[in-house]
Amino acid sequence: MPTAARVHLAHAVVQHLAGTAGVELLHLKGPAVSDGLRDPLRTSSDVDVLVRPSHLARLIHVLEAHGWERRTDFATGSPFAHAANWWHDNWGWVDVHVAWPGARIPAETVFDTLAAPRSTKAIAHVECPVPDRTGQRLVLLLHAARSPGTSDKDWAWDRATDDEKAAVRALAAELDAQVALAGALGELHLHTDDPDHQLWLHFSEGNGDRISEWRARLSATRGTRARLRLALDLARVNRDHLRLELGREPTRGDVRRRQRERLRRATDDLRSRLR
Amino acid sequence: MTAYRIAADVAWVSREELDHGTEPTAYLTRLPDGPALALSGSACLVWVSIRDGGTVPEIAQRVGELADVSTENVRADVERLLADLAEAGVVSVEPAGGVRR
Repeated sequence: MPTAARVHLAHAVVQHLAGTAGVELLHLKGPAVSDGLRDPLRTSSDVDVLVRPSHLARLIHVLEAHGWERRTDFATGSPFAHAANWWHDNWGWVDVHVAWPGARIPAETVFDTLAAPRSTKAIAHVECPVPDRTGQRLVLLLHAARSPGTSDKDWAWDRATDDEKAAVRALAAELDAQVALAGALGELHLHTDDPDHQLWLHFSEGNGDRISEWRARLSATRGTRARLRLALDLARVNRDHLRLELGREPTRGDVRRRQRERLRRATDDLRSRLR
Repeated sequence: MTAYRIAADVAWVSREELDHGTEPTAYLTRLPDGPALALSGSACLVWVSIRDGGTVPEIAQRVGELADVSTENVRADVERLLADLAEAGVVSVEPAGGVRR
């Protein structure tokens, strides 16, 4: 089956399961995006959903009862600890997000706000809840802020009218996501005093330098305890990613080797900064 | 007379909706556990012809129009495929005045 067909059916399957379990979801990106907000030639390889955080446990239970296997954890699935991945032999990947990086109000309120318009889109002829067009634009732009180089900004922002852009900025203000939005729009110079400025500068530049990433993420983390926890996480090898890469459970030797590689990479980054 | 329509618990997408592919193909599954099926060529024409429901003669007429052949030429094949799809549980069988799978 072509990937695009599988992804469409997978959205429908996930929505059906969520519906039977009383779980509220919003479908994001890929086929969930309304016409005109995304390059029609661009295809998705996985399903992205934002779950109401208080419904996460129920979603996990129903997914796993129907053959989905968790492959990464929330702590290791992304630098923002906001998503985890499940795999199904028939339906492929689903990325379950409990928050959308960039929005700084509580995740439950973010969900309330994005779900409030009660918009839906038929995916594989199944009605799936989605943010409205303004919410979709913001979601795509916040994603573009941490994954630059896609056509998302062109479609979600550059082609928008002034009124549509004003609505996106208003929604970003409501979600306290102005700094991340500025990262997508090339306006970070307006937020140099914000604690998250360095973080979004790092992602918007997309230079892949781990030292920059560590410094940016530490500077955006509030509280000594949280910073300490983040520093420990950053220093630790991500076993979930290593398992995916190797296609098997990593051994202690694998982890040690990866730790040495990380150290070497960090040293190389440091050397390139000192040159 | 018996009527057929796509079952309520079926998700499906056609090649036309995805990439305007030249070969008519529909991909479908019963929710939530499948399996996935692919209907290509004339089978896909039958599938899209039952999306609004209909009897065998009505569906055969739509398929005939889509394929530009006479209804009589396709009626037996349509009837056979509908029986198979009903057995797979992906179409609902609708006797006069009610619906049953």
